[in-house]
Amino acid sequence: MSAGRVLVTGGTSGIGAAICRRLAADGWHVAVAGRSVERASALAAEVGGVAIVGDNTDPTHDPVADAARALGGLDAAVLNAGVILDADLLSTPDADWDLLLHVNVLAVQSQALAARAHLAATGGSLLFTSSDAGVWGEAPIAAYSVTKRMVLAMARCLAAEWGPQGIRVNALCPGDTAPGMLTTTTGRRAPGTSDGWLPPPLGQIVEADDVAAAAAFLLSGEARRISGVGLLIDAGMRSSSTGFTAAQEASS
Amino acid sequence: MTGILVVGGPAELAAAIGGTSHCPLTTRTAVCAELASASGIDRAVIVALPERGETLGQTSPDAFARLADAWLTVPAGAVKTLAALGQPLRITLVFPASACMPDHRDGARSVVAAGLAMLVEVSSALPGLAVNGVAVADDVPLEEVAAVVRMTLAGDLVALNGATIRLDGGRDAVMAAETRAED
Repeated sequence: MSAGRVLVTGGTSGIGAAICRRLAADGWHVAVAGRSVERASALAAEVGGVAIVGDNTDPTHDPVADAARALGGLDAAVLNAGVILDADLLSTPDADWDLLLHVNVLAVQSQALAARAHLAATGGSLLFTSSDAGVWGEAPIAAYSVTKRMVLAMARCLAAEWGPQGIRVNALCPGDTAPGMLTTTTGRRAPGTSDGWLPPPLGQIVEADDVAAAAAFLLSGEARRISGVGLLIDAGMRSSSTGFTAAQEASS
Repeated sequence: MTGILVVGGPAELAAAIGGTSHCPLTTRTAVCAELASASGIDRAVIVALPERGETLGQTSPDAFARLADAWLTVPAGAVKTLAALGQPLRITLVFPASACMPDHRDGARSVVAAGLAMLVEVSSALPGLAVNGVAVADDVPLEEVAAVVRMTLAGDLVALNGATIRLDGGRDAVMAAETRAED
C-alpha cells in the first residue's frame, strides 16, 4: 500500500536524492524532478518512481502538473530545488542575485500555488527546503541567506493561509550537509568531502540522510499537528553564536 | 558628520530624518547609477515600504515577482552600490514590521520584508558599513519613524550593527488575540 504520492524537486542529487530514497523506502510513490534526464531517470528507476525533467528557470516548466499527471494526484510536495552562490553581497553580480531569487523563491511560490489544489483535495502536506542560513544569516553566502529567510516566511504564511484547507506547510533548515548543495550560479559542482568543515556541537557533520529523515517525519501522519515550522537539522550549530567552537573545545 | 542620503519614501519622511539629499526608489539600474556618484554622505536611509497587499496564495507569481523586484532587489542593489563606495557608512533600511512576524493576510509583503530583514543582517558584515533596520507597522506616525531612524544613524552607536528595531507598538510582542478571533 502506498504511503502517498509525492513530488520532490531538486530530487536528483544531494539532499533531494536522499529524500527521494527515504520516502520511497517508506512506501511513497515518488516523482523525482530535476534538470538532468539521466540523473532523474536513474533515480526514478531506482526508487520505482517517475522522472520529471525540467529547469526552474524555464517559465514553461511545471513540475507540479507533470507529477500530478504522472502519479494521479499529489499527497505531498517537497520543493527542494535551489541554487547557491558563495559570495558576500558586494561580490554578488546582479544576474546571480536575480537567479537566486528566481529559483529559490519565485519558482517555489509558483510551484506551491500550483500544488495547492492537489494538496487541498488530499489533505496533503507541503515541505520547503530552507537553510540554517535562513535562520541565522551568513555574510559569505549573502544572497542565498536572504532567499532562504524568504522561504521560511513563505512556509509560515502559507501554513496559516492554507491550514483551514487541511494543508500543512513546513520548512527544513539543514546546516552544513554532505552531500548538500551542488548547484551554483555558475553550474554544477562535484560532490566534495566535508574535510575542513567546522564540526557542529554534536561532532558529526549532518548527512543528507539525516535531512531526509526529518522530511519523512514532517510528511508523515506523526506530524499531523505540526505546521508553520522551520526545523533546524544542524547538529546544534545554530544553538549558540559560538556553536562552532563547542566540539573543538570538548576535544582539546 | 556630513550628509544623509535618503533613498525612497515620501519627501516628508526624508525631511523629518534630516536628509540632505533624496532620490526615489525606482529601478535597480537607475538607483545604482544615482548612488554610484554619491559624494559627501556618511549616512544613508533606504525606505522600502510597499503597500499592504494580499495573501501569498492570492498573489500571482508575476505580481509576487514584481513586488520582490521593486522592494527587495532594488534596495539590495542600493546597499551593494553604497558598499562599493568604499567609505565608512551607516545605513538604515526601513521596511514593514511583518519582516519580524509574518502576517499571512499580507503574506506576499511579509515574505519580501523578511528578505529585507536578512539583507540587513548579511550587509552588516561588509567592511566599513554599519547596517540596521527599522521595521514599521503601517499606522506608526512618520515623525516617530524618523526619530528612530535618526537614532540608528548616530555615529557614536558603534555597537549598533545588524539590528532590526520593531516599531509596532508591541503588537507582535504577543499573539494578537483579535487576529485569532477574526480568522
